[in-house]
Amino acid sequence: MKFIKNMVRNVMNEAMDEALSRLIKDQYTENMAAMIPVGRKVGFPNFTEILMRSSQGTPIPRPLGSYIHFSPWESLLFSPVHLFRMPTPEQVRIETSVTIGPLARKPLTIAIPIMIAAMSFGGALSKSAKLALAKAATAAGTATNSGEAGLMREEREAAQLFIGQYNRGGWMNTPDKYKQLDAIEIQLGQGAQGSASQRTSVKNIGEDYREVFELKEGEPAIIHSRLPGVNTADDFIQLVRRLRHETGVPVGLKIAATHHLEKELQIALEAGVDFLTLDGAEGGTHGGAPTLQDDVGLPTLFAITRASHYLARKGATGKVSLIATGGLVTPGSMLKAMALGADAVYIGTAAILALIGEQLVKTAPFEAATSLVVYTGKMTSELDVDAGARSLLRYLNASVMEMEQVAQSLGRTSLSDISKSDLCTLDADVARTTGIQWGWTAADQQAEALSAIPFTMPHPDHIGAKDSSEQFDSSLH
Amino acid sequence: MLETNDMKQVLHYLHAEIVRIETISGTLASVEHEHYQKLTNFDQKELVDIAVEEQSAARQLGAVKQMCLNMSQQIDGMIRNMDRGAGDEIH
Repeated sequence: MKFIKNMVRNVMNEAMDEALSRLIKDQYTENMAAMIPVGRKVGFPNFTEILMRSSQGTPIPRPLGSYIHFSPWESLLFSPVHLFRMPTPEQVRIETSVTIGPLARKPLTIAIPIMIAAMSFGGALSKSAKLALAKAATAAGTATNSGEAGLMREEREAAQLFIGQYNRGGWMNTPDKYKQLDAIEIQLGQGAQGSASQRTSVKNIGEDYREVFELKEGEPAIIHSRLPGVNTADDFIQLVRRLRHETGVPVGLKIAATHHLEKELQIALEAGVDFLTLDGAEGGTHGGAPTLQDDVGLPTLFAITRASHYLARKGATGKVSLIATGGLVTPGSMLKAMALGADAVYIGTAAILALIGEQLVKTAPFEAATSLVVYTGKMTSELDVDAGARSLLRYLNASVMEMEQVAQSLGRTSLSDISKSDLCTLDADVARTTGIQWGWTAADQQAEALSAIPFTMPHPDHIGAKDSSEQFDSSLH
Repeated sequence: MLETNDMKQVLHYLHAEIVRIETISGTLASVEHEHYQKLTNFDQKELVDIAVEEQSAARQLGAVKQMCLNMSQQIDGMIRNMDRGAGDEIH
């Protein structure tokens, strides 16, 4: 044994010497070390995605959305109270329930402000993963979402509160299906895909998929860029009014957050929607083109802030519920979204990771953890549905408890009572654009201090690290 | 007129019962929350899982309380409308 160890050691020593010598002596252009600056220049994800595109020749389906942290959540901090307002006594329970669509004939009340985001059976997740999500949501007293799919009977039965997407594939768009829902979300876009069309090829469609989507054998599943039957704003308005009249449940609109936000919201309010779901540019997906994920949309933080201001201007605050989603992976960012005006949040990526939980060991080290839950995954049969539901329930409980702790420290008795006045920001631009107070200066000196600071334009990679950001004089001075 | 009075009485009854359910929900939520506190005193995973279920039940009772509040407000509105209607008739 010792002989073998010495032999391996000698071989490795020789190999390392050779490699180091070449690293030092070879021309830089012929040197493996050239990959280091190339990697730094291009970035590791871009580097691998260039190679994947060159191999596949078609848009590459990156899972779980953009890795870029567009929304500067970390520049916001909650402000605890001690004397001027007292913290909430620990005996007082923090109210966590939220009513979605309070003006609907049958509003939807959830026990916690976190819901499970739209992740479709087949297009994204396996049946067992969808059932685990539904079971966990039911145990937590919250809602889960169908995603762009047909109505899966088992999921409907497992979910006490089930939001279904009236979708661009048309698979949920008949009365026999949407009349079984607790809320209807008209899906016109999503953060990770914009309003682009999507196609699931026949090779990825199994028998159970065909059954739920009512597809013929050999027929692909196509999500159109437009909702079938909705070619004008007026078509949309008529659709919302019809669905509200027919069902009585909250009817909402989901879009990819966009700089055209207010124009889109104006039509939605005219239609009389009960809720708005805004999916920020950070939104995840089972697999989408990196360009749609990284270069399209508006970050969640900006979208929620603008939408909340817009609803206030239109007198719709408290009448039309606002749901934030996209890149909300910590309880802190979820609560900040609520403080900025969201009534509730959807989580996707975090829910999936929490669901996998301890079952991660089944895939390590040779398979990706997601192979347990995605429809086309190699290990979907290995997922223990009840264990997954328990893991997600624990995660939801822990997350809401952390939010409750913050509420207690802010002297609030309900998560819904937390507002922008409970926040400060370290970022002067965020202070100016959101109305949140700037943490660098006292409350009564905000305007003077902010007017002395020029606007900055950080690269998303450098949000929070202003040293490297480009600065320019503000035209607002 | 008699029918309206009957309806009003039914609404008053529903209102009273919903307020009672609201109170019971609040009390039970507190009990469930205490159970959570007690069960997390032990370092045993099964008990922690039960504690988490208790805490979730407490929050769902909080949601029931909220639903009761919404419903009692709606019934209040209906009773007020009926009173207004009756008043209009008298005048």
